[in-house]
Amino acid sequence: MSAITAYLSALKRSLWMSAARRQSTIDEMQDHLTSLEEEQGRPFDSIAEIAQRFGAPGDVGCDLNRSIPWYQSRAPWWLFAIWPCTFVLLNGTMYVVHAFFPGDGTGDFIMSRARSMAQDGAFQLYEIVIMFLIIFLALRRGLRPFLIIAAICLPQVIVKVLHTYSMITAPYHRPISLVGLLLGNGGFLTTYVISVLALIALAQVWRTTSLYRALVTWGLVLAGSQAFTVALALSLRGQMSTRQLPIDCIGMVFSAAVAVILGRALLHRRLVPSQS
Amino acid sequence: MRYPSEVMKGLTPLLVLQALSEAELGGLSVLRRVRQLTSDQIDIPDGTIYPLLYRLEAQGALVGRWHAEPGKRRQRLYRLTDRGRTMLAADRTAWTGLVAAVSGFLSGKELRS
Repeated sequence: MSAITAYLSALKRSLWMSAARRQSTIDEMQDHLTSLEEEQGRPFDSIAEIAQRFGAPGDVGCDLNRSIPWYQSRAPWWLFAIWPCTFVLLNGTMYVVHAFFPGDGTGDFIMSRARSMAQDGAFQLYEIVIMFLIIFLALRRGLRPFLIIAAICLPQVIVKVLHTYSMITAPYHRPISLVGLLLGNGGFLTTYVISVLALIALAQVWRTTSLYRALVTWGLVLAGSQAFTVALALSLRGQMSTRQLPIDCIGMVFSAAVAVILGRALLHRRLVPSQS
Repeated sequence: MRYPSEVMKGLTPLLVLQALSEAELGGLSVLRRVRQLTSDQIDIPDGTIYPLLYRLEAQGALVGRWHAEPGKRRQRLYRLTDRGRTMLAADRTAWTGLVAAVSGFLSGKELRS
């Protein structure tokens, strides 16, 4: 299967719109890509090469971030007081990893989305503060773990529904990307599902054992979630940059290492009181 | 050449409308026409052109049609509508005024209306 065919297949899978418009887009892209091949006198080697010009298949004609103002302007203020906090759990670590190990921009789709979200640094910081405030208050008041999870995740479900609704009702010229929904904005949906699992583990372990073990558990779940995200990305996108996988593997190890070091430091601090 | 995306975001629709004001063109031809008219100074990314064409079409500025010739691939061509010409005229006036104002400002001269 040629790179163009593979790319168009991926594009077809990712575009969620009327059949007529989708076929029209596919045909237009086919003509464009074939013309480029004729111009350069050789076929495209891979999806990655095409994606360097067009973006990943799910990106063509689709900019998820443009839909964000939609629900920013329509959602009630209180929704943003408890904005998707779990989002930060995974991506906070990913930001750090990718700051040191930047991708080559082709297979780096997930992080390009995450970075675009991270551009609004103040908003991210706000998310982090609110997330930890909720966890802190919930633990201080002795709430049961499932209540903590509900407090954090339920609003995110609402946001997700709003987000999906905004995509569905978008004009036809803004094709809806199913892949984008799964992986866009830093793996929004994937991150959400995985983060719920991470929070369940964290809340359960935190209630029954040490903070150290809780943090280690968190780190391991995060590492696992990254593996899952990469696997999903690979399965949905076909070819990704060969540099992407090692980078994410480093990210997984880094996630676990940070959790272990932080956990040990906090444990030590708690067990060995200050001499002053 | 790729200019900052913040600058190009507002300028790209004007360039596309201008390119299509002269002839009915397909997406790739629009890109090439813009490059040609700007002496390769402005290069609109391939991934940008189709969402923009669809948006302008939805706004009524363009109308697209499929064109097929024997022995050739069929191609989707776009042409300006009356509404598109009106938009182009308005954008052109605004852009020309802006360029004059900024140029005058940068050169330290007062703009005379």
